[in-house]
Amino acid sequence: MHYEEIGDKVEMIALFREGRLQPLKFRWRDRVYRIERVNGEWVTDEGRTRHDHFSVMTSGPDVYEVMYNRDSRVWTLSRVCLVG
Amino acid sequence: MRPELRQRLQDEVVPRERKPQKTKLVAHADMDAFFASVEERDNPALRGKPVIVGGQPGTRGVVTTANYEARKYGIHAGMSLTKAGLLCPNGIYVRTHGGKYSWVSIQVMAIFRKYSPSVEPASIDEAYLDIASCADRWGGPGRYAETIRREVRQTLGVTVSIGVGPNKITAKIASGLNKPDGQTILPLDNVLSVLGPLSVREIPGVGASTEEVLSDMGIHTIRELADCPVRVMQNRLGKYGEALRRIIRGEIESEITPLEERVDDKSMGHEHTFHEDVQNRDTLLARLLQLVDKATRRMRRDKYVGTLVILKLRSSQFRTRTHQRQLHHPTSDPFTIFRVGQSLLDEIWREEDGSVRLIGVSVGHLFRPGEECQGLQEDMFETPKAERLNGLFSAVDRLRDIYGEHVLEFAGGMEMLRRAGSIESVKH
Repeated sequence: MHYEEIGDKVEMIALFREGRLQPLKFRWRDRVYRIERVNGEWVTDEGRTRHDHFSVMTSGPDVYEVMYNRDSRVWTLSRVCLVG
Repeated sequence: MRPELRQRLQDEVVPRERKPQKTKLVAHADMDAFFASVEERDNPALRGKPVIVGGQPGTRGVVTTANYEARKYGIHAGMSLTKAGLLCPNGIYVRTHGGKYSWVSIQVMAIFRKYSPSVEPASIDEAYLDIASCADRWGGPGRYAETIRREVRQTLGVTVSIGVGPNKITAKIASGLNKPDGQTILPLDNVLSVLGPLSVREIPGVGASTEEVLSDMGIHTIRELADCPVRVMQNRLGKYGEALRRIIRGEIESEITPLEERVDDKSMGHEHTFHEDVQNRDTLLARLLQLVDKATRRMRRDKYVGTLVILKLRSSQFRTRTHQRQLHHPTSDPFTIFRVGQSLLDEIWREEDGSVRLIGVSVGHLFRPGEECQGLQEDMFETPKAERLNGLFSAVDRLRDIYGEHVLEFAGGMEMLRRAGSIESVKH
């Protein structure tokens, strides 16, 4: 198991519902990852910019951390934990 | 409007200044290996493995949290990562994500506040709850603690252990008795039936030196301490000994002070524990400047000035010294406060005194200009300079609000670090 810092922008399909944000599916390096589980979420601030972070899993054992920048409205894949 | 009705409305609408109330029943809620639990929640593959939060083994720095599997290898918070790496080479080492833990902590405290009218956070991962008036609504302290634990677990995916006792100290000991994800409710009429057999070292605040004194008195367990005659305790440990005996017998109640009611205008400060003990004056001064910068930023935000500077140093042998100096004029100017801090540092420490483990600085006797300030007045001759500084720092604060805390730093601090050899060069 090891963590890799990524920092790539990704395309994300997400659901905004009842004040909550739920990431559903993202495209990274021409591959689509369907999110099957959100392990945890948290929020950080950098100056005025608020980031929503999600630790998510797809069909495999690897864990992806994605981040939504509320200012720029950009999704980023922050890092990946390769488990398999 | 009738006067009594007006008074009643005022009472309901205008919050009265509340003094912390003493309570007869306290719950201490303590998150289990908090940072590691959050990491396990976010990466289920970590579960069941030794997880060490702090950084990679062999690098500078210390363990901030080790989960229960890692503790079996002898790893604990505060241990150097190098030593941890030797004890548990196959552990999973994760860097600390402070922002994430702070966020989860805020959510945990919000759950606690749903269940108690008075919650006093003790740190990022523990809090005291006044439950005297609410535990019965949930079917007693046991059911009450179960309900809170379940909600924290189900909502946030981390676990908390809870202890309930007649005061903070007994509740805190109890919360540690059935970890992780457990609870201990002390019988209020006989707390010693549970706490009695435990070592006196289980009492928060009883360290090696107090233990030695107690041991000389033939006291090794909490029951022996509780049964010791008051006069004997007073003779050997003074008022502290008497209070300790009464607390442990459940005879002293505690005050629970919610964060929002804390008298935080007494002082504002920060302290820093070095990853490795420091013996270089420039490194200490650079850190002092950063701490002053943080403290004065908070003071500016809350519009405080202060007239007392307090410097704290802890040596590698855990000897703590504090010195303070009264200022002639109230200020929140970081340059003035740093200069006083620097002079205090030179009063109490020289390089030959040995290495320093912790440095802290705080500004006390705070008040807001315009409020009563104990006969002091701002220095009128300094006003133009003060105005220029205010303008400068309000611009700095705005930049930091927008771009984050590290967008601007004192060049002087970087210069000190360069002199200390901690950074190679400074770009001006």
